[in-house]
Amino acid sequence: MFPHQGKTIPTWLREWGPILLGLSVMYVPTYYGLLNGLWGNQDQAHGPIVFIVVAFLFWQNRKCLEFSPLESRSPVLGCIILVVGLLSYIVGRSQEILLLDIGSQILVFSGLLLITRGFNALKAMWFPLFFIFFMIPLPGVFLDAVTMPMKMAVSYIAEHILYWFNYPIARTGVILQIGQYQLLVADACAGMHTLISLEALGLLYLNLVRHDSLFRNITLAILIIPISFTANVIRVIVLTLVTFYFGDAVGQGFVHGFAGMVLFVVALTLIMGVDSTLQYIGKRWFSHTKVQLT
Amino acid sequence: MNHSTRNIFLLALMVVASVLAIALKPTIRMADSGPKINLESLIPKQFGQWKIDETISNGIVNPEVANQLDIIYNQTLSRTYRNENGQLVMLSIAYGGNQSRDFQVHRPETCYAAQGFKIESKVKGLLSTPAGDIPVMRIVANQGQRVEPITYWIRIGEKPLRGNLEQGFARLFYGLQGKVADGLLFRVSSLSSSSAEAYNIQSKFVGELLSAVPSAERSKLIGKI
Repeated sequence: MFPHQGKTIPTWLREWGPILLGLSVMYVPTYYGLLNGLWGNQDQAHGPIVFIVVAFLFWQNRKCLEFSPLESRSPVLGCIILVVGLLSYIVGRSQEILLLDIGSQILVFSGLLLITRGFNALKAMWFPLFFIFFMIPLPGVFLDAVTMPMKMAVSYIAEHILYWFNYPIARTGVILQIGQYQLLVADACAGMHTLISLEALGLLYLNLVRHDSLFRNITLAILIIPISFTANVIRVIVLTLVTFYFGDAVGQGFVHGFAGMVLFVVALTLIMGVDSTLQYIGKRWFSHTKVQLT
Repeated sequence: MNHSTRNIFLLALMVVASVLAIALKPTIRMADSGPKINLESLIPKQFGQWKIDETISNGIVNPEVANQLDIIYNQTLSRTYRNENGQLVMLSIAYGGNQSRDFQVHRPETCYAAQGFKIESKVKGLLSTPAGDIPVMRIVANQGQRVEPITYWIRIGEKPLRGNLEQGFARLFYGLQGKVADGLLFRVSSLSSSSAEAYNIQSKFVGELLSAVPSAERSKLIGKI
């Protein structure tokens, strides 16, 4: 009489159940490992936050999966991407290469989306997929190569700005001398890790305010790099001045307690300021063309 | 293919991947094949014009560091040698039987930096010895007035190498064959403001030391060149 009544499993679960199960089998061990290892590291403290954001964004965009036209599916391309992703996972997981282990999720998820739902769904989910990048720890080789020049640049600019304002400042390499105090610009001040966190924060901001303008999105995404560099310079300058006026002890206390927060507030203010400016410029330049880019 | 069959197939693919990932974890420990290494007896206390200087203590004071070393390495050796001209060379060797990611030999550039040293320069080079050319890293570390030029190499399995990237590739090379390589860090350093002079002394020291080690045992230090 009611032939469908026996099936109490909701449709979405029947369809997605096997896929979710497969993903759990693959990635629960990965996240278990991260939770007990890398994420405990101070440099990677943003990892769990990025994970939660990714999960939230996938959940928020889930409607796109329902309404995606099935004609846009691409099983062949999807399968190729999925298989490459699985291979990357196998090598990364068995050989403990986090870049491949964590990074494989981007390929695996994309492949699965192409097979089951198609390009429209992939397009709708591009941001959370892309955001997974921020969970991957930077390779040591890259960090080694970039950190030193960044430190030099930060110290150089901080020195020159303070010199303009007639402070008694001198610099040898990455050591700043102000008055009777000597400050070593440490690895942290190069801000590679804060740069990554800030870039993540900035892109998330862009995604949440949902600009229609491609111009604004791309310009701001690129500008986040100089913005976080500027924020780091400001941090070093503030730290130098605090030490100069209040002494070494206060300066060191400031480093451990407050400098990181100043950095974030400064960076976020800069991001929003630049964004408002871009919005203004965008309106004046593009208002007559009526282009809607998403 | 209908949806549920397709998704079951996808599930199977993913399960296969995770089984493979577990099955391919390297398990064969290279340290267990061949005779055990014994640093204390392998490295002579006197060779060429060099003689161990017992008056200089090489003890590790910081208990946290000592504890960390015990976890990572199976054996460590730390000695200071003096030659007839009164020149000093500090030798430090660390051996670890398990070179998987968490236990791999620490590179001096990170160790020294962690101890508050500043790494001034870092250059790859080749060290010519009677036993062959060894790829080495030459770094200069300093802390206040103390300037310490360092020469080091790392042996992973049978490969002598230096630097983060080479270490990672060697781990992958053996790992994909199912092997967990053993590893050894060989580091010499001296206190000198002239790094060229220090490197010269260190090269002579290493050459004479390797000549004094029986050739059958040498590969334990430098691998197969």
